[in-house]
Amino acid sequence: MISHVLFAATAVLLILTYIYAVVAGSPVYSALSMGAAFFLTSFLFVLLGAPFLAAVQVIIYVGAMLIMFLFIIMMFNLNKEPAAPVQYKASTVVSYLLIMLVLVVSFFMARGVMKMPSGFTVVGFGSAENIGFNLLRNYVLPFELASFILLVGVFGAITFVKKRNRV
Amino acid sequence: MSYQMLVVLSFVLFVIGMIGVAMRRNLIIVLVSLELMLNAVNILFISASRYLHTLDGQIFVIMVITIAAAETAIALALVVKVFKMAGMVKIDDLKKLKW
Repeated sequence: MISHVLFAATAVLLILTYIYAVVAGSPVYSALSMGAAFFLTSFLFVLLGAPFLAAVQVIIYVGAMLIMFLFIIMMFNLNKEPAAPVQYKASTVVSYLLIMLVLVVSFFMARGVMKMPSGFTVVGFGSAENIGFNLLRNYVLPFELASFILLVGVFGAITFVKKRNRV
Repeated sequence: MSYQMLVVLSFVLFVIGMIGVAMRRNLIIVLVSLELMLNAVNILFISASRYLHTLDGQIFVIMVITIAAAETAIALALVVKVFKMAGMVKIDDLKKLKW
C-alpha cells in the first residue's frame, strides 16, 4: 500500500517537472527542472528494485550532465530568449500523440492487468554485485563498445571546439 | 502499481519530451528535452526488468546512460560552436555550421 502512494506521488511530481522543463522560458530553469526530474527518477528506480542504477543515475545525470548544462549556460550567458517566435508544428505533435495513444490503448486491451511482483524483490536483485557479474559475463562486448564510444565522444567534442586552421 | 501504469507513465513522459523537441526553438531546451526522452525510456526498461525479473533491462539502462553522456558532450560542443558563430543559440542557427 505504501509503495502505491509513493509511486503515485513520484509519478505526479515527475510529470510536473517534465512539463516545467519543457515550457520554462529560461534555459537555467529548464536545466534545474531536469535535475529534479532525474532525482525523482532515481527514487522510482529504488522503488522498482534497482538501487545500483539509482546511484548511477544521480552520479552521472545530476553530477555530470546537469553540471555540464549549467556550465555551458553560464559560461556563454545564454539566458536570453531567442528573438524568433516559437514555431508551432501542431499537426506533427498531434500525429505523434495519436500514435502514442493507439499504442498505449492497444497495450491495455491486449492483456489483463499485469501485476508487478509485490513488495521488495529478492535480496541483491539489482545490486552492484549482480549487475557487475552480468555485465562482465554476458555483456562484455557492449561494455567494451561503450568505453570506445565514450572515447570517441571525448575526441569529437575536443575536435569540434578547436580552431578551424589547426584541425 | 501494475506494469501498465508504469508503461503509461513512461509514454506520457516520452511524449512531453517529444513535444519539447518539436516545439522549442532554444537549442539548450531542445537538448534538455532529448535527455528527458532518454530518461523516460530508462524508466520503461527498469520496470520491464522488474516485471520479468531479469537483469537485462538494467544492463541496457547502463548502456543508454553511457550513450547519453557521450551525446551530451558532443551536443554541448556544438552549442559552443554555434554560439561562437551566431552569438545566440537558436535551432535555425545550426544552418550556419554548414561548410
